[in-house]
Amino acid sequence: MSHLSTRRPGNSLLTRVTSALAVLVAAWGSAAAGQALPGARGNVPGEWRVWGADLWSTRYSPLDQINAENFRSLQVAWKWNAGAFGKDEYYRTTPIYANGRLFTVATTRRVAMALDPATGETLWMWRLDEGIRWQKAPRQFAGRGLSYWTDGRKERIIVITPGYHMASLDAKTGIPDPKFGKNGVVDLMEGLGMPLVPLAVDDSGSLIISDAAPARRAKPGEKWDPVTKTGADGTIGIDPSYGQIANSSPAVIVNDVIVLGNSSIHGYYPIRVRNIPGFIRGFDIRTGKQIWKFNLVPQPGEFGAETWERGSRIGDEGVGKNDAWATYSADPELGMVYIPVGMPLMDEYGGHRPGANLYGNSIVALDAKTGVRKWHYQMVHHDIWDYDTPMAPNLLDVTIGGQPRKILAATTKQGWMYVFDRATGKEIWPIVETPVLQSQVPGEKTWPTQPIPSRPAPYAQQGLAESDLIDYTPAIRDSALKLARRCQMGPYYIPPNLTDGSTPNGFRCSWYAPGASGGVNIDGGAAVDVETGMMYVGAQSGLSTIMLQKDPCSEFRYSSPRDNCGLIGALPPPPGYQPPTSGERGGGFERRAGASRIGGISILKPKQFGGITAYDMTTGDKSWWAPNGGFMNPTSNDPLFAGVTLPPTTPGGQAQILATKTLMIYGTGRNGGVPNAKPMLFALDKKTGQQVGSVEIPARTTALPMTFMHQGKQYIVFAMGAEENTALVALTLPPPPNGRGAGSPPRPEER
Amino acid sequence: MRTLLSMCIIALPGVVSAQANGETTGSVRTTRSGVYTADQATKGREIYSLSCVSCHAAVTHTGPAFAAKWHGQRLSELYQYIVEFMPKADPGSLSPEEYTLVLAYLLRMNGMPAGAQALPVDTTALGRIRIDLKATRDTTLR
Repeated sequence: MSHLSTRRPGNSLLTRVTSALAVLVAAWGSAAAGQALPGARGNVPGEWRVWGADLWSTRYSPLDQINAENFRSLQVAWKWNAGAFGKDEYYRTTPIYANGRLFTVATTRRVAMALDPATGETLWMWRLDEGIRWQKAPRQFAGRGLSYWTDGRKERIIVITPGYHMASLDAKTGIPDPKFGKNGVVDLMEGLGMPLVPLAVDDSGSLIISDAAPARRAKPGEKWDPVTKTGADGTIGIDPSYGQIANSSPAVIVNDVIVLGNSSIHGYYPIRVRNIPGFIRGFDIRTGKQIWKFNLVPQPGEFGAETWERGSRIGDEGVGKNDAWATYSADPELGMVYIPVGMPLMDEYGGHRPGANLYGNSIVALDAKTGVRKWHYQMVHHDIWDYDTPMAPNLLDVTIGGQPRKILAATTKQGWMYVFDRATGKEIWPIVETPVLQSQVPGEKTWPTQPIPSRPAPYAQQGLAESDLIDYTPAIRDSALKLARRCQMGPYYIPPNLTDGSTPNGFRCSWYAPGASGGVNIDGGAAVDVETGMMYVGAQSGLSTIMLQKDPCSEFRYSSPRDNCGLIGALPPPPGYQPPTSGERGGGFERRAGASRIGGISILKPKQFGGITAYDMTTGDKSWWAPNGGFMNPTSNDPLFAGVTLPPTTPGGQAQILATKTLMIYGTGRNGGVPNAKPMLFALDKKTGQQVGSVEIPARTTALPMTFMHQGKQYIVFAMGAEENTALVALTLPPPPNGRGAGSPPRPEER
Repeated sequence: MRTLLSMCIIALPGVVSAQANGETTGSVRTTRSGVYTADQATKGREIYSLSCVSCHAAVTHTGPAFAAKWHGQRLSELYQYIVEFMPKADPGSLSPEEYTLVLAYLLRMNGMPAGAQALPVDTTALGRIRIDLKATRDTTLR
């Protein structure tokens, strides 16, 4: 393991200028940082110190230099080419701005960087060589960002690497803090109660979704072969027989405690029925010392262990995941941190883990100093739909029924928002345990009820009922119904069926809405107007199918259609095994009745779902709705639709939203917006949802945008691109002509 | 005419008789005859990275296992499969052009050569292209 920390050379003049400015800004920042500024929520007004703008994850900025009048005149101030430092998947990072610098991560190595906010010039960079820990990391990408802390004198950037190390870097220089951990780095695989061993690999590739081609324990004396790039490279990590662990989101720092968790393997097609569960831990910001640990799969004797009917020990069959992989929020005054917890192992079959499976799919409120659980709420019992809690809950102070309330609103994949008193966990509006369909798949024991919020109303399609189907003519309705009946229908939480039709109901599939990406996913989620109590939820609403079959080379009795045979780490093929002859690995799609379109037209009636839904959180009512990037006018060559004028439909994808003093601003997301349309950033009126501005951008946003004020100019910065074409783009207003201020309205011809 | 057509088939590697594959009209090319452009594959790679890669490793779309399922099928079958089932959360939500670009990238991933002719956004035309993955390099077991 070796560090690489570099500062930009040959910048003496600029450095001096920047340093001078930094001192000035720091003087103001230091006064601000140590105080509980009214409404600052762990942020300094005009800055963006936390992934979600502030510890409350409001994504709100009080800035108003960019407004409805001048939004269209926004220009690219700079474009920072992250791809120059290495490849990535898609660029899923939201940078942070603190005390005059912009901080980000980039590339599959998750390099930490500081940029000059005015020019996009790289100020410093830091990365860690993690060997096999990186090669076999389940989340080998730049990640969603990093964390900032200051006591008014010292400034630190906290980054968690793909190989699960945590570094504390001097925000001014990028140099690791020698008083933190070992030379600035904490090995996060330590302190979890699992043995660390020398690691080795049998191939030169990455982990294959979900847990195929993993690392293994090195043999005694095993060496690295530089030609085949296999063997043991000296890396130490958790014994791979326990499974894999990773990280994809930044820590949250509250009251001088770094609170972090972990992510896990993808749960799509796992081979092994046990893996490492989720943990939340607190670390001292100054020393990196672990203060506390909270088990997201409660261990024997802990509250909730009984919700794992066959045992909850690490290594027990069915135990794994429940990882809180998304970002977190916190209330420093209450001293609480709010953890959105993902689902247990694996995504669509729970037969190996009967029970409610706490704390899967829960919001868990912990005391940030001690890690003691204050309250929790499980939003999906015994999840078999991949309904991870995908987003930091939003915290608001609003008046409801004449009473001031401190609330927490969790937006979720399942299309519902769950709202609680964040001090007590008590529901703001009733959430009703409601009987749901039960699985007929052998071994599966679905939970009899699921909690359904009485309000707010959902923002995404819920299951599939006959009334949801297109019915423009009787023939269209009959065709849609015939197609719909090929899979099991229902209101929500429809359990999967077996592809061979052997469940007693005879179905080979089930309708799946919202799907595994929501509803809300980490791409989307909500921004809050802290002044009005409005929430703006970016979500998608689609219709797909869910089904199960046996993977012949997996330990799972059933999983989503897949054939892992032949991959490193898979079970040997059973006697008489024949590879599938059509469809994706084991898919056999010709037997799967999954299509939800006729002649290219969805069988779902267009509804005001997905896109952007605004809620008045003082009442829980929907205020307005807007599509993600505009409407589409579908056409079909299918004779079924001849002579029918089809209503407009709405694009998919997750709108990526922030709110300012005067605007709700969003990008359409990596796969959102009207297909083939130019990539745009939009501005909406916060009260009405009417579009008041738009500006073309170099490419679609791939992560949540952020905004800040730097040297008197407001910037909007967002990530874009994938592979070697990743970049951060900064927008700002054009230079003021004729001495007019940057925020002055443009002349009419500029509009 | 028939003789001339036969000569053309012999002269163009990767082109086989449609009748031999049960088709009644038109000639059938294979994916080895440059059925997509390099530009399409490059654009398709970006869409793949934005919309697919978070659920799929590229290794699951290449190698003998992938070949076992798709070798000999018409490209329209693979196209239709992707349109009907992908992206997982909202199948059919990409435009036909975008699906075609992803298809071009899948062909490049599998070592199929690019050519001068663009992959058509037309399932009928895609039905005249046969997937030939017989000698695909084994990348699955790396």
